[in-house]
Formats: sequence, C-alpha cells, structure tokens
Amino acid sequence: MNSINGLPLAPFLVVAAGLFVIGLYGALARKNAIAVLMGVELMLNAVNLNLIAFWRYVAPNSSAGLAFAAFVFIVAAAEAAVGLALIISVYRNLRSVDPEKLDQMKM
Amino acid sequence: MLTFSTVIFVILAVVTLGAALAVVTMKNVFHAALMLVLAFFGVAGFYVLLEANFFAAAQVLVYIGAISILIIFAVMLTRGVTMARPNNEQSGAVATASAVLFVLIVVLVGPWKINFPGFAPLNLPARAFGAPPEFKMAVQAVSPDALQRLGRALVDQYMVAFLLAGVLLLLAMIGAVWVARERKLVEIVKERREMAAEEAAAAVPPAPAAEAVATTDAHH
Amino acid sequence: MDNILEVLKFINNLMAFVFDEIGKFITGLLGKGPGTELVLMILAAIGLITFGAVTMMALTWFERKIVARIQDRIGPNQAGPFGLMLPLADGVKMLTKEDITPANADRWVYLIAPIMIAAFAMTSLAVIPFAPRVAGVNLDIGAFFYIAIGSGSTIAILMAGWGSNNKYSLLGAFRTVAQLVGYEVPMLLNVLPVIMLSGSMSLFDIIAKQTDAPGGFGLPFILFLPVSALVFLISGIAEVGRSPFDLMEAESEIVAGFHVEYSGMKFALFMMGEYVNAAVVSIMFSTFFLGGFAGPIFIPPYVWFLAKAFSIFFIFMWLRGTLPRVRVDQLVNLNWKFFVPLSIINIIVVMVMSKLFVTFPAQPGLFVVSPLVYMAIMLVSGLGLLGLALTLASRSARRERLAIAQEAAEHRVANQAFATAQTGK
Repeated sequence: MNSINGLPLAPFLVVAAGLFVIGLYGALARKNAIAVLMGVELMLNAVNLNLIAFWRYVAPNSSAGLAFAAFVFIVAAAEAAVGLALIISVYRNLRSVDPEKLDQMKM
Repeated sequence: MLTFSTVIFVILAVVTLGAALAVVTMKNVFHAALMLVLAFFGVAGFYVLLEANFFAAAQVLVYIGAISILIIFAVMLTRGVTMARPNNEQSGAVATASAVLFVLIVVLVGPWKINFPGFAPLNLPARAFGAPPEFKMAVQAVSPDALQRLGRALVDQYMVAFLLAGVLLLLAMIGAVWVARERKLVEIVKERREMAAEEAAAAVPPAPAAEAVATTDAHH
Repeated sequence: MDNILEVLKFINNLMAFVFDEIGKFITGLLGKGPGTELVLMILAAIGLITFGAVTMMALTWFERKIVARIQDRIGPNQAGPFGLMLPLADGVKMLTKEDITPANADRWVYLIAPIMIAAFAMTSLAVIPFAPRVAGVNLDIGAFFYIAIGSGSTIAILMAGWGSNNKYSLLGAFRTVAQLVGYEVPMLLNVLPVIMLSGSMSLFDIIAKQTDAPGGFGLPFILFLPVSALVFLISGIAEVGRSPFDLMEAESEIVAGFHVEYSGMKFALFMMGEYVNAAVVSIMFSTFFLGGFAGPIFIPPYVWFLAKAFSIFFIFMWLRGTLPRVRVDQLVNLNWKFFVPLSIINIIVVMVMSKLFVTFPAQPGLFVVSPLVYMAIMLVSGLGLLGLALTLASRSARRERLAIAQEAAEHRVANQAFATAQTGK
C-alpha cells in the first residue's frame, strides 16, 4: 500500500511545490528586502517538506533524508541571521530597504 | 478516502498555502511576518503528519522561536519606509513564470501519471529519469529508534557535514554581530566624511555628504 | 501486611484507574473509531486546561500569602476565610474591568497576543507526567517539546508590544524578548546533560532513570548534575519573568512593560500565561532533577508530583520576596558571560565523566562503578566546576569594582583640583 492512513505521497509534493513557487514569487517580486528574505525562507521550508515527505514514504529506516533536512534547517538559520544583519546595516547607511536601490558597490 | 489524516491534511494545506500567499502579497510587512509564522506552524503540522515529530518541534524552536523573531526585529528596526505598492515592476512577469513553473513541476516531475483524454498517455518521467511514472512503493513503518539512528548518523556518516555546519553557524554568528555592530558617533562621522571626499574626488556633487552627516543615527 | 500493600498500590494507581474507566465508558458509548479518539483527546485537553486554570488560582493565593509573610505582613485575609476566595475575587475584578483598545492600535494583533501567550502556556501542559501512566501524551521527545513551546511564546510578546502602539510598550517588548531569547540558551544547554544521562528525551524515561526501575540510578539527577540544576533553575526564573528578573513587568521602571495597555480579561490572560509558565517550569525542574512523581510508596505519586513542584515554586516565591531587581545590562551580561560558558563547560565535563565511568557493564566506558560511586564522582566534579566558576567570577567582579572605585577617586581628585583652581582665581 502506498499511503499512510489514506494519504499518498503526491499531495505532500504538490503542497511543497506550491509553497516553493509562492516563495519564489515573493523573493523576486517584492520591494522590501525583508519580504524577499521571507520568500527565501518559504522556499527553504518547501524544500524541507519535500525531503521529509520522501524520507517517510521511500526510506523511513535510513537517516539520510532526516540528516539532509537537519542541515537545511541549520543553513536557513545561519542565512537568515546574516541576511538580516546586512539589511539592518544597509538601512543604517541608506535609510532604505529597497533591493533595487542597492545597485552600486560603494554606497 | 476520507480519514482523519486526510481531513487534517486538507486543513493544514489550506492554512499553509493561504498564509504563504498572504506573506507575499501583504503591504504591511509586520503583518506579513506574522503570516509567515502561521505558515511555519502549518509546515510543523505537516511534519507531525509525516511522523517526524522531532522535526516538528525543531521547526517551532528554530523557525518560530528564533528566525521569526529576527525578522520581526528587523521589520521594527527598519520602520518608516512606506511604499505605495508592495511589489515591483516585474511582479506580473514573475507571477506568470511562477504559475507556469508550478504546472511544469506537477506535470513533469511528479511521480504520477497524467492522462489527457484523447492524447497518448504522458510518459515523460519514465523516459526522462528512468523511473516508473506512478509511485507504487509500499510504505514501511518508521522504526521507533529513528531519532537515535539520526543522532548516530550525524556523528558517524555525516560527521564532516555536521562539523562544517557548526563552523558555518559560528561564522554566521560572528559575521552578523560584526556587520550590525553599533558604531560610535565619531566613527560614523569619519566614515561619512571619507565617503564624501571620495565622491568629490570622483567629480560627483557632494550634496549627499552634508545630508549624511546631518542625519546620523538617532540612537546615539 | 500484604493487605496494606494492596491498598497502597490501589491508591497510587487511583488517577490512572479513574481515567481508564472514563475512557472505557466513553468508548462503550460511542464505539471504537477515530471519532471516539477525538472526543477523548478533547476531554483530556479540557481537563488539562482546567488543571492549568486551577493551578493559576491556587498559585496566586499562595504567592500573595507567602510573599506577605516574608515581608512581615499577613496578606489577604478579607475575601473569605484566610483569603481563600481571593482568586475568585480577582477573576470577578478582571472580568468586570473596562475592555480598552488604544486608538491606532493594530486591532487583531492587539487581540491575539494575550490569547497566544495563554495558549502556548497551556500547550506545554500536554507533556507533563502526573503519575506513572498519566500524562496528556507520552511524547518520545517530551523535553524537547517543552523547550520548543516555551520558545514559541516570545512572538506573542512582540505582538503585544507592537500592537499597543505605545513606545514604552515596544521598548518593554524588546527588552523582554532579549531576556527570553537569551535565557533559552542556558536552559536548553542544561537540559542536555539530563538527556545524556537518561538516554532519552521522553519525560517518563527521564523519571524512570531516577527510580529503582531496571537500568535506573535510584537517585535524583540533582545529585549528579548540581551545576545543571542550578543554572536551569535560574534560567527558568528568567524565562518566566519573575523576580529578580522581572524587568518585563516592573511597575516602578517601565510601567508594566509590554502589557501596559492591556486591562480586564486580556491582562488576566497575560497573568495566566505567566503563572502557568512558572508552574510548568517548577514541574519540569522537579521532573528533570528531582524525580517527578517518583517517591516511596506510602504517598501516592500524584501527591509527590504536587509536593515537589510546589516546593520549587516556593523557592521562586522566596526569591521574589527577598532579592532586589536585576538591571537589564547585568541580566544580559550574566547570561552571555557567565551562564552560557558555564553550561558549555558543564556539558563537556558531564560527557567526559559519563564515558569514563559507567554503571552498567553493557554500556561502553572505561570503568564500571556502582550508581552511588558514579553519583559521588559527578557530584564532586560538578561542585568543583561550580566552585571554579564562582571563584573566577568573584575575582573578575572584584577587579571591576576596584577599577570603578579607582576611576571615581580619580574623578573626585580632578574635581577638587578644578574647584580649588576656580576659587584660587
């Protein structure tokens, strides 16, 4: 049987794909750098959901999927911290968080 | 098939995707951040459905307990930026591209067969990746010591990645503290004067320098 | 003699027996299936929330009485005999106060914040072990679940601070979140040695390791991990926001901090969240370090559970009545410069000791000792670490004090020289 309690794998993947695509839109089409970061976090969550769904359905007795998902958690946290520090630093210098205004190497 | 899990899945899917849409379309960034928290809760619910309860708790702890707070702090510290429209000029193109990408993922990469009436059956995944187009693997139960195995694997097979992740976190911590450090007023004035001097030397009008010195940060 | 033992065993099992019977009754009524499960879960949730609310009522009364006695006064004795009706009077007062929403406040954010705090506090009640077979749910990650839920409630505080549309509220929320997020780190770092020693994150397994069950030590973990217990206790006080770390709600400093704009039932929800959090921290401390519901058989386990949790809460109230408030920079310094390094070094010491000496021959380790000797070794190493840390801390504190005194003396001399120079002119 390829489902747990009546749930096959497919719906999880569709939800993860939807989350990823929404995050992609947020990362590309928003004017606030923090909103761009929120889109990126949504994408990372979608990836994690995908990994754990495949772990559960395909190989629940190995730890590869879980370990990969754990590393994605770690990388997402590190990247959010540095990204937000950069955004705050840019705001202090430029008084703006619009990513379109950051088009020079020197401010 | 209408079981408890199916109902919960539908509720969680609606909540998560709805919250995600709200995140990327809301004008008020603070409200968008709160909707992001809701989306994270939804994903944590999915992890519980997938019997990865450690990761559900880790999701709440890391994303909601730490990253969301970071984002909300950043929103609060960068107030005063009002925008007429939350999206930039390319949002229409991006929306179309995202929708197309979603359809492509579902149709081409998904482990299911899609049959359009009147056409030959779509066999692309089988040809592209050599895998059967429909997911028919039997699902095994999760062993009760999956968590112990994960812990052992992290320091056994994936030791290098684990250590690198630790180093990455350390570097991120140091980097974030350094980049966002509080600078003394004297330092900032000196920085601004240097930047103004360079701009003047590059034959650009020095108007930004006067403004920049006058509007030093209020929290000093 | 056997009869007495049987009676004692029955009384000890009373709580589990009652809940089993209720479960059987409802299953008999509704038949087996997911619907029955759902009904039972909802009933369990209602029971736990009732426990939380009753605990809050009882703890408010105890707090007022005990802090009053510490401060050499009587405390409430007007509302009913010995002031026992005080929680009810408080409830009536909260319900009848005017429900204000500040102008220009973010309505939904302002409304949802207190509900979220109370909800998170109640959620952490789901894993606490009341008696050998009685808990909301026996999660195999119980300790981790508690830490995760505890960290989730900080978002609600930011929402409260922002939603009130008040600068002082926002400032109070920032300081509160800095304190809460900061003190989560030593809390988590000090639950780790407990999990290391017991080999599992499930709260029932942690308690079983401290009893005479097969594979257990028979001694509470506070004897093995004195440093962890101390730092967990202090971090717990800081996490909840009680004195001496009660900057969050200091009426004399920031006018009640982030909940200054709340009145009536919303404020009561904040208070409920704080008291239930404090109760859960006491319960968690007694589970991790004192053995939870385990104890000699002549007192039922649920009474042991209440007694141990209440004694820890008594320590909280004692500290509240006795110690002055800590300043916010002292608070943050204490956390990052003392507690976190101490916790990390403690983890290393516990790791080394638990691999050198083991109690059961099946485990990998160098020397096999009996649990008592193991306890003695870990106690000595823990106390040694604590002594070293306190010595270093007191030396650096003395250096700082001397430096400040010297600077003040120099300033005084310079001022006097200036003053005499002025009068001399």
